[in-house]
Amino acid sequence: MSMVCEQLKESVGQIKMPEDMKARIIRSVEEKQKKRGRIVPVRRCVLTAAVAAALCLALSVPALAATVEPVYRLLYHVSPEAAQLFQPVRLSDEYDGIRLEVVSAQIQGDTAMVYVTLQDLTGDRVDETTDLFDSYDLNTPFDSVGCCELMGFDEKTKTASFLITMTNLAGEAMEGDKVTFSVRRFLSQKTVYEDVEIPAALSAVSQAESTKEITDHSGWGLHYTEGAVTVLCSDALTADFPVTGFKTGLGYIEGKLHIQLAVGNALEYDNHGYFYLVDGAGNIIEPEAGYSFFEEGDGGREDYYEFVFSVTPQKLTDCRLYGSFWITGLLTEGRWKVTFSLADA
Amino acid sequence: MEHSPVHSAADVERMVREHGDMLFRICLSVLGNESDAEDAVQETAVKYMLKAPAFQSLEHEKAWLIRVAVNQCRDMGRFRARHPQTGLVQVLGYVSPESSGIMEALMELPEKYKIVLLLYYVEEYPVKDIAGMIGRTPSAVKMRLQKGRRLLEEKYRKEYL
Repeated sequence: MSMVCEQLKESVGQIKMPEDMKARIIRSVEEKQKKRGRIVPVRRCVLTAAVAAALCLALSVPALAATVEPVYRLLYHVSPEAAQLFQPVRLSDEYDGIRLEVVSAQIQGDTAMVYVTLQDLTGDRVDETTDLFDSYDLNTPFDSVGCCELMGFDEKTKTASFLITMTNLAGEAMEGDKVTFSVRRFLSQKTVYEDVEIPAALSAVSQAESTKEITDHSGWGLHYTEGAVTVLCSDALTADFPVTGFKTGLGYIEGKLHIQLAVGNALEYDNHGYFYLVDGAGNIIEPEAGYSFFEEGDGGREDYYEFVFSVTPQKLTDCRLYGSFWITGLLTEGRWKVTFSLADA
Repeated sequence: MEHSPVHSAADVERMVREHGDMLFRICLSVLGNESDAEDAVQETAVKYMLKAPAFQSLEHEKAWLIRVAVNQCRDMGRFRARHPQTGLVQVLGYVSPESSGIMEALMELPEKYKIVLLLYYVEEYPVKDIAGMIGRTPSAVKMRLQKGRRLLEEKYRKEYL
């Protein structure tokens, strides 16, 4: 952790709520509680779980997943009470052979749950790893907070389903409001390599011959230092790496083992990875610091992650190198937009 | 739509005693104003009383409270963006004189960076959990952390080093 971040933790940690303020809040909430009376039988959390369970179940049955009706019917089986609030919307937008459909929506008070599907009508661009990343948007006439999560994928119809949950931050009911859900791009064909052994000749790692100083970086770890740091030169990296899309290099700098990972398309494709060592006794050795930086070249931007391990060359001969890597195969761009009224939901 | 209380007054009192300091320091750091922070914590307590789910653990409860408090701060932050006011002096009253520099730098950051920095460095939540709390992807949280950290360091260095 950098000095500034340590100061942040130490400083903000000093803040305590005054005791008289705690008493005021407790008293105020008690008074509000006394004034409330009407009982609503269905609690939101239970409803959410039921709907999610129903949708997951629906998507595990390919023949049923293609239309909204099966989801709706299934919901009745799981929770008839919840199904009363679950209404079809069925509005869609199509661009470049990919259809975005708002299947249904359900509102309870200040929270709406919207089910959308993304279907590739012509190919395999939508799959079980489809990720809307940061490129979806919920445009509402009120201040809201929302999230979108992949609920399932139907192989037969090439349809990925997502649940969007949004809450009106003012705590007001949403009925009657129009909402626009749009997607600009999505990632798919992702591959995850978890805990793979990297066939590096650790006993042959020597002092790094080619290094450089960087000052513009960010990082993590207990021994992360700000300001100028020495890292491996990226032109010494080798593409001989078990995961396509990454290059790496190793070397000792000032007594520490540095392992650098070059990641293509890190920002747009969300490609990333990390390393760790396992010693002869099976203990995991994590990096004591990590640095991230990037370089702009003729071929575009390339991102680098440098992992620093406190391990001697002697001990390293007894270690094995492992890593986990996430790489996206396809970025699909377009413009999909559906506007629907929550009045119908 | 009204809700029946799902937590009793005794539950609320325990929650405030248990998590009040944590909620207040997040709200005060984000909003930069004592009375707004009190309002945000109070609204969080009301939502806890009326809407909180059945928690699986104290950690689950804490994470839920943070999510609600952060949302409340965002809402109030939007209002305050249209009705600017400064509360830096109030914030500095809660920390030692040695901490005034870093708190002033923090107050200058946009809300979205403040929130992830607080949750990561002060409350020590992992990126994945923060993503769930603020409704963004882990990658987006990482980006905000990276940029927020850089902005904080720049502002702090510029003024105090």
